[in-house]
Amino acid sequence: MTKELYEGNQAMAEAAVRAGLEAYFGYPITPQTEILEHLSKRMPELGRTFVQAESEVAAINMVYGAACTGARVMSTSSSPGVSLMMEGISYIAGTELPVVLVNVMRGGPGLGNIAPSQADYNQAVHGGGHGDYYPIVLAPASVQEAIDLMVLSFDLAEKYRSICMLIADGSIGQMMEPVEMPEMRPVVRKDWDWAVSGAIGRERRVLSSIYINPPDEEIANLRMFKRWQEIQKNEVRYKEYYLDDADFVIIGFGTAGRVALSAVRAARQLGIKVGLLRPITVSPFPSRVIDQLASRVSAFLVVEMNTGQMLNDVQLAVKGRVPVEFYGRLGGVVPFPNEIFDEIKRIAASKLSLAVDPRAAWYERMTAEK
Amino acid sequence: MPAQGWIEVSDTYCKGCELCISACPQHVIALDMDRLTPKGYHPAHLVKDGCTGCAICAVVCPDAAITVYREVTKAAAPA
Amino acid sequence: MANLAKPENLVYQRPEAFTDVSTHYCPGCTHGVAHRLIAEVLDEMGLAEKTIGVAPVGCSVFAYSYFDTDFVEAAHGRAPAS
Repeated sequence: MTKELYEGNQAMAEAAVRAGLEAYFGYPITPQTEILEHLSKRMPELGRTFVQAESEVAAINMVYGAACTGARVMSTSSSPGVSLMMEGISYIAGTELPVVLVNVMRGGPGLGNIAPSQADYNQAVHGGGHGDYYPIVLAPASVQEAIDLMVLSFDLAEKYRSICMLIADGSIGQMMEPVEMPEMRPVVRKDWDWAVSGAIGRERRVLSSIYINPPDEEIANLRMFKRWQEIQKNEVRYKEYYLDDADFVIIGFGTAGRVALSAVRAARQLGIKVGLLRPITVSPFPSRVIDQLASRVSAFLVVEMNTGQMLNDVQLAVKGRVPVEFYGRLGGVVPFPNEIFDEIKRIAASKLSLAVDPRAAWYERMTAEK
Repeated sequence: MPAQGWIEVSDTYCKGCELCISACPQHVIALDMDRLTPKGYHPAHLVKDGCTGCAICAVVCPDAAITVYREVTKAAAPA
Repeated sequence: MANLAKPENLVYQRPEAFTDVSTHYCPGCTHGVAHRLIAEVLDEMGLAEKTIGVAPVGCSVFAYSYFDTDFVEAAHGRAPAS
């Protein structure tokens, strides 16, 4: 199939349409408004549902209602807007509805700016909404990957009656790359045994997240947890680069991982034996592969566009066996390959200690020079 | 004989939007096409006699770029 | 005519409640007019020093650069609440 030039946001929107998106409820916010705009044209064209809500709070509750009918439904936003959606997300999780969400992350916290960042990792992976729930979180590093993951996320959400969230940093949303769009899939309203649709000819169903009797709530939570265990067992995805003979390994997701790949390739030219692990699912986290690597490499370097959020999950998997270093850029600044290349050279040339706090050391380096 | 007025348009603030030009009842303001402000706009300025200092231009200016003067005539002077 | 430019002939000048910053609004944008009207009232009622401005989200998110008062930035749609 011929490749077409697509902007990340429009690509994600079009991919959702082709995956059989039935309803979209959203609100504009930079840097993802193009998704809303693209769908505002495409959805009515195809006779599907599109509503620009009066706020993100309204949008997520519309998603909740639509998801209760078993439709393929999605909303998208960026960091401050996703914060507004957190209550609704918790409701969706508690009602065990399949829903796809996209967060095109921008600098923060607060109003921040409109530049790319990865500082919503904790919000997405460790549950920004209240209660015990575990969304599936996917992190694309290119427009093509965003398309492929978008199509996958609907299937994953429905397979597990779970929230599937794509976290793309602002650069993925805004950049244009040549991609292959999937074929158009027809909209199929599946015959779910849990969805509400008017109880004609069947027992009525109730969808809610209320379990007023605490032991009942516990049973519900255990059921959701069991489902999470299955997701952890079956749905971990990641990409490996040059890991077979690596002395130390860089771990980075999204754009940070992609930039690190350039640095890794440059380092390999110089004969430095560094590898890259790029998680595609940050939730479920690829703990097992990191655990295996920790028994044979001498160090890890975590590269993120935040103050070290995935760093914690890496440290948990490594269990203190080898040093874990950190390099981060904040507030909307995107790292350049040469910065990570310098880090690689520094690590290759130093004797690292387990006693050093990686964040403190990184902060010293960040604020020292110049 | 109407009062005589004078306006000064600041280069720092004027963005050449021409709202003052269309608002001026005496039609004495135009853009100065020979000059550019530091931001790259052609600023407005008085091009002929006839300004009465009515300040309608200053009232409509979105950037508060205009200072207006009007001569104090014997009729208008405080007693 | 330039000899008219004397303090005793002054009819209108830029409000004091404005800072010396040139706004980023498009030429002719009425955001500027609204700002100016507010600044004129602040001057007229002598309220500038007692004022706390609340800036919304959108083009006027940088309103705090244009008024010479205390300012607070608000979230999208929440300026009245703040």
